[in-house]
Amino acid sequence: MKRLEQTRIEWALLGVIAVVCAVLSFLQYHWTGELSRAEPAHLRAGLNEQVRRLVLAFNEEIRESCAMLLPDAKELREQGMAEAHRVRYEQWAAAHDRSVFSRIGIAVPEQGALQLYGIGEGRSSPMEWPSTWGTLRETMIARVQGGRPPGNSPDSGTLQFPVFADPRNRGSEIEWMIFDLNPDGLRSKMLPRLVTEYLNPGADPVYDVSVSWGGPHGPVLYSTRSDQASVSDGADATAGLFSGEMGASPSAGQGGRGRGRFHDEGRSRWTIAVRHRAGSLDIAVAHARTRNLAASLVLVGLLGGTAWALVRYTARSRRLAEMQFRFAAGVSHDLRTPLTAIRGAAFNLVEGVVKEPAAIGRYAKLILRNAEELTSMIENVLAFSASLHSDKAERREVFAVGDLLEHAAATMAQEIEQAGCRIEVTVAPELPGVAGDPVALELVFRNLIGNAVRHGAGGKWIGVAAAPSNDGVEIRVCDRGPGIPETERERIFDPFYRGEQTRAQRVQGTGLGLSLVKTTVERLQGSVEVENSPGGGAQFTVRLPAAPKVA
Amino acid sequence: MTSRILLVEDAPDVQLIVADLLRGHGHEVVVSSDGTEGLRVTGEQKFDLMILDVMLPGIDGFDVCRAVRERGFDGGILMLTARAQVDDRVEGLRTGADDYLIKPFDSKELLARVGALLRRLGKTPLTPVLQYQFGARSRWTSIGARYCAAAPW
Repeated sequence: MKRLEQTRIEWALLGVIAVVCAVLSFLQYHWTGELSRAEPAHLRAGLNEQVRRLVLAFNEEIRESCAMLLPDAKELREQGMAEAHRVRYEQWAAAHDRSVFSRIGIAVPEQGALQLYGIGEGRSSPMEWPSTWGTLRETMIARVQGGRPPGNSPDSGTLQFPVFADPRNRGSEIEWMIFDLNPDGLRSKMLPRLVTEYLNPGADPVYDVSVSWGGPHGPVLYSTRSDQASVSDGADATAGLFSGEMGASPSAGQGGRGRGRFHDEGRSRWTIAVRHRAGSLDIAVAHARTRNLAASLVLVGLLGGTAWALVRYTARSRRLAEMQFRFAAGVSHDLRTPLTAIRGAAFNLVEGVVKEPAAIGRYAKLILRNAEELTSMIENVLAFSASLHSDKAERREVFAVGDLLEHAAATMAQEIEQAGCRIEVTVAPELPGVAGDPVALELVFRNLIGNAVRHGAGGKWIGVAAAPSNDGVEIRVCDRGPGIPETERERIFDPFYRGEQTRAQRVQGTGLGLSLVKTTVERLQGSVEVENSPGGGAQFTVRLPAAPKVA
Repeated sequence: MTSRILLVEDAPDVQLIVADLLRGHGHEVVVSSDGTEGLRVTGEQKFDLMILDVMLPGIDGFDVCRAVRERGFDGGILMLTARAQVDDRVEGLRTGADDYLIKPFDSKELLARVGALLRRLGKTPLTPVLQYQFGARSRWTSIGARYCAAAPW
């Protein structure tokens, strides 16, 4: 009654925990949902800022290089064209990565034509106009002849800067410097460096970045993806990278560096696109939410599981405690009864209450029987407590099962006879030997036979049979009693367990016998099982492995 | 006149020994092996004393005790119990037992307690001098019985 109530409380507790877990999971899901709706906008704003800074840094580096390479009018006048450019180039090359530019040229108007000089290794030497600079050349020639100022062709990597004789007079060009950005150099050095610095500072890259010529769908100049594809589709941030306004002089004579001519809006020649590796920021946030949810579900599951395990283990330990209590009560009763008989019988004999020889003989037998019963019970209790601490080395010797069974049956003969039973021991010839502790094993079979006597005596017959099995010996102990109900068959091997019928009929015992049978047999790598034999009655089958053959 | 004792005990050996002991001391003993049979026998015959084992198959000793008291059994009841817990002893006394003994008991103690119970209830085997009685339970016979039982002759 009390136990039922306790079980109910436990289940109620478990239910409450489950409900709390469920509510917590729901709230977590709900709240992370709200967060994940706000998060992408926040992340996107941050990303745009990062991209803006990258673009600024990129433009600043190019501009700085150009400014360093570009001599002013005074230097040209005082040092001469070749020397001024050489000094500038050497200063620049000492501190900069030369791979930024693939070609640097100087276009000088000479006798109504434009003579082109290339700069390399600090020396300037005349060179042919490369075909890609054709448009540039034409516009510059137009400028020299008094036409409109040349602009850069918008989709090229070429920059050209005029050097004015008088910075205030836009029209007094002495020469033009022309820079070709080197796509290979940018791709292999500068862009990866900037991307790492501004977008993917961590060990694991978070964003895919691509740079394309012209608009977002132009040819790809650079991509962090292994397939070199553009990430413009569904990009989380896009910006112009390489400003077309660099065509104006970044260093116009007297300290005119960077006078607001360095815009990246409007006429960007390249486009940088950034996309989260997960596909987009929204997907990344959704993934994070899913991961978060999964983690919290696992936690909640763990919590629930722990609660369940706790309830289960307390229930189990309580059941064990109950069984131990029953054992204490049962054993004390079952030990006291034979003791009472022995003590009373001795008193009657001593006091001369019984005098006739027949009665005295009966008393002697009674004392003997009860003493034996006490002995076997004490043996079981001791063997059981020993089996709980069975680290000590066991006896192991090879013996014949047949002899053991005969001996066990002979020991029990009196008890069997008194119960009005007949025992039949059948041992197949040439049984393999079994290794183990014969004393412990004999107790196993005495317990099984004793059970048959106590519970199956109504059948008047006990059968013990040993036969070889595929890898050892199979021993059956059967009776013709009422058998064991299906519901109890699993539990009869539990320590202290005693069947309902047994308890109702006050059959004596400790509830330890079968538990001992099981532990002993399993220690020898054997097995024991129980079923009801076809003729009714219980049938225990013990299987023991054969002892290894000694060569 | 000897006293009649009903012994309800399921362990056959204990039953035999207690019965022999009591018979050897001049009591008339009827034995019964379970609670149901014990109850039936009390309905059919008169007893001065019942010796009841607590752990009995069928109905246990407490229930038998309660049932016979409800039926108006006015003899003594001595319970034999293997349980040493105080709760059990109290339960036994509450259900109507007069005394208890814990197994394994000393036979001398059993005899002494049986004797004491019978004497208290005025059912001691009387000495030949005052062997007649005036009705079942009169005050006079009780006093007389106690006096006579204590008398040296």
